[in-house]
Amino acid sequence: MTNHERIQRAVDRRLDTLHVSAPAFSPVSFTPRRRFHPFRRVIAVAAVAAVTFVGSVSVLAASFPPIQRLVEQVGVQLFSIMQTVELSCVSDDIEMQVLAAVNDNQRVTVYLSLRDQAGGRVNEKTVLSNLQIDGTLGPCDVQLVDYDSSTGNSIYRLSGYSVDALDGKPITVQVRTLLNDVEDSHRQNTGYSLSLLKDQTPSLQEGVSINGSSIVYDPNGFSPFEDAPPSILEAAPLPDGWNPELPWGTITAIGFVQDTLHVQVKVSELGRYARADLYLLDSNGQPLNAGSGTYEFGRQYSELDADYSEYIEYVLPVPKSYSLDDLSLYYDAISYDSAVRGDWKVTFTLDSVYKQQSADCDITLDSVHYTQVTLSPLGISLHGDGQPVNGEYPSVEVYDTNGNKIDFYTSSTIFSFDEQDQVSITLQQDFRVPLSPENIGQVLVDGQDLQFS
Amino acid sequence: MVPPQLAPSCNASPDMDRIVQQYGDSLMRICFLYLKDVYLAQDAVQDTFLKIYRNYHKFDTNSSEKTWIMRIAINVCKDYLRSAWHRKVNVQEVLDEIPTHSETHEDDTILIEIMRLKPHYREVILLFYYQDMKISDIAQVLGAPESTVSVRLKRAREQLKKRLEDWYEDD
Repeated sequence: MTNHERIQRAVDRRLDTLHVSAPAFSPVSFTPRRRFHPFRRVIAVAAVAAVTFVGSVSVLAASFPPIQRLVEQVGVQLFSIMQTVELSCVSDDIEMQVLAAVNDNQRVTVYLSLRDQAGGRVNEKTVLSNLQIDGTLGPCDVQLVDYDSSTGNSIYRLSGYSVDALDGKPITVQVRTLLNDVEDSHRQNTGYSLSLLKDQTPSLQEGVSINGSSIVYDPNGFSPFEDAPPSILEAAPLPDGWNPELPWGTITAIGFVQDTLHVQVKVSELGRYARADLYLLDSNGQPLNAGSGTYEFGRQYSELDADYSEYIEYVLPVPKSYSLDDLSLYYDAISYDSAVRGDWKVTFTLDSVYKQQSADCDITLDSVHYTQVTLSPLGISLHGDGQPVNGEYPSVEVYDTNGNKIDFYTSSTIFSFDEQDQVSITLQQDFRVPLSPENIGQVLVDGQDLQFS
Repeated sequence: MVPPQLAPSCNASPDMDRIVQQYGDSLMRICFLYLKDVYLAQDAVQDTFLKIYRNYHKFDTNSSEKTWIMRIAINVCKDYLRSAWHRKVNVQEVLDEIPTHSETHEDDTILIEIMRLKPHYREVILLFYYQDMKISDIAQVLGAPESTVSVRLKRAREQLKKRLEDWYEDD
């Protein structure tokens, strides 16, 4: 017997139970998993994919459930360290399923899918709004990860931040508004002539009283009143033929206070979700932003991630060096023409944090002694004691295995004070998308090449 | 072990049924011996099949399908080994967890010693002996010069010979 035969026989006989076949991967159902088994979790995924392969490859893409699409998008390695959740809810015939989550106790990322059972209201341009990951701070960031046109499934990534450790705690992912029919209006001319405006709209003077409130216009501080009045400008009719409609609302008043143009807009119901700005543009096509600002007043609307006002008044100073004939009123807006409102809510318990990589360091900079760096798929954090005096921080660079520098999406600095007023500091840098640890090749902190364990 | 077979045209969708049937078992076993973890091996095989499916249009029909597939599998395994979450394991304990249908009691010695080899020795031994591949094909799989493969194979054989004194014979 040759060595070839010996080894082949030894492997095939001893490992005869290790094989890939349809029976071995027979029925696997995706059920909510609450325990974290980093290596076992993928087995179910592998099983379903293998069955699909053996069955009919031609319908592979169409038959992939959202979790399978997620695996394709993020890769098996990254998926294997995620917590699979797979809990769903339905509102207004649209199903939301929380697929998976990653938690490093500073950041939480949740992947969810949406599918319109009635059809047509979820597509690759649908934007999630009025949403939150309960337990995290502030509004969460939302990115579309994947849209499968054959099934109508969209997958989104939601990222939030926390100061308190969230592992083992229930969190709720909630979405209330889906926005559709986006309209992107860039550098649109309102058609309003500033010269005509000056001539045909009320000229308000410093100290004028409107609705019982005294306007004291301060061009440096923009604090025209002590108490928020129902409006700054009197609602005056616009000159004949002037269209008051903007993509995010209706112009209800417009006029000058000395050399400053005020434009009051009543925000429409969908306009509250728009990102919009009014500004002056000179004859060279340059926007004038110096000193401009907005006031918000009127009825307040509270949503999960933000508060909105009924009115916005744009305050646009006109520099003395410009002639009104050289200036025009323009706007930029990303707005939506339709929305679906519902209450999609899933609560689940975040699993314990998996083993993070850490490295010791010994860096003293600007009165702070940094001693440890932790690395997770969501970002990198530098921990130290002290408080910077001059605002200097160590440089942090992360490179992938091909030597490409990995950009950070957001950065934050967290200070903690103990009972003796000792300050500890955490510098937190977040990756734009979660990264599988094996894709990280090198970490340099203040020029030091760190080795993680 | 995989018998030689002509690959179909890459213009068609890959016949995953055939590929799973033809390569699945040996891929599973080679991935297990490489990764020393049955669950990781299952993941690696699955990952390999996904990559095969998604990249089959890139497969050059003038080259060997088996070499191409083995290259994908080995690269997947290497990626897994680079993972920070890879564990150090006792290979005997790992093998003990795997049942066998074989009625004859198989000595685990050879598998244990192969699994104890360093990865770059382990891969050439598995490809050369278990997959029955030529050095030129192994070089393609590993993306390494044939001379490098030859040296690694020689050193891996020497280590096995030393460890398997009463078992291994010179080729």
